[in-house]
Amino acid sequence: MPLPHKFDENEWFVIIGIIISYTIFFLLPKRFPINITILLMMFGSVVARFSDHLLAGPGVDLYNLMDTPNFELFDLILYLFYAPFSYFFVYFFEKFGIKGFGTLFYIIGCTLGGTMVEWLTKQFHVFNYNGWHLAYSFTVYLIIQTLTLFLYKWCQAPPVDN
Amino acid sequence: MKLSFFIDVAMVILISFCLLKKNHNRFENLFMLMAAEFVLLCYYAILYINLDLWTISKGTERFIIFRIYEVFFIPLLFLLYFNLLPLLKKLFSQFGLTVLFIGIILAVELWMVEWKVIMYKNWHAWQSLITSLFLIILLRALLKGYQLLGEKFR
Repeated sequence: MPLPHKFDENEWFVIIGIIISYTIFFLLPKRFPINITILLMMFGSVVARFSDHLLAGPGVDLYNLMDTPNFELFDLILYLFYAPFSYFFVYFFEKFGIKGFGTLFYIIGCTLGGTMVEWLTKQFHVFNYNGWHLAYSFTVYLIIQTLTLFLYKWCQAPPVDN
Repeated sequence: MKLSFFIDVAMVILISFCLLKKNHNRFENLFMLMAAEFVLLCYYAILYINLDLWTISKGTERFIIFRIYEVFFIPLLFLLYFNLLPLLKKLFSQFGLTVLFIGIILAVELWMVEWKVIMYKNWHAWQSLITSLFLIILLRALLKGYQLLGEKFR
């Protein structure tokens, strides 16, 4: 797995982002059992890996991550950065007891927040667009955050025997 | 034609998995699916993007087949395998199932090679055999870790 060509702003952005987000994660009081926490965090990383693989891979190539089109070490580390965000998203949803149409506003608000964070990552060249547009990211976040809430509700639902 | 046949086979596997009496709870199954997706997508990216050991067909139909193969077909086969494994109590039977599973993974890959969806470049089938074994061990270790954490912090 290739190392960065030059250790510059995008690598620093990822490292500082990981330190800040995981510090917040560990400081927050725990709300969910560990098995659900792991699933929520994994979901963020896996969906990001899945979409990057499909949208940034050869044949489609709408954007590049970090310095090169290759799958670099820092691409992998970047997926650690996504994990706490899906956790925070569900954490605050639960903490504020959001219900009814409040859920819609919460999802739209968080989608805007996610798009702004992506704009920031673009400024630090974590993402290098190649036909992609920030407006598409809004749509992707809207879908993913809705799915994250579905996942959380599914985790809470009683099991169904087959 | 090839694409529709491949989707049919994938759907048969999906329906089989849905009907199978699960030997892991739904959290473990979801964990396994996500872990398999993540690990396999990294593995394929290293193989055909970084190391250029495989060439993926650029034809639309074959390209879609490959996408279904890597994001749906193979992770689902792993999920099926990990749910079938606890059914067998004897170590020898588990070994037999593992050999059969690796054989199936390899057969599907060679099927993709036959259809020219995947073209080997400096790569041999036996290398896929070894990496499949490594992936099984890795995913099994991840699942064990998840189960242990779940029990420890219950």
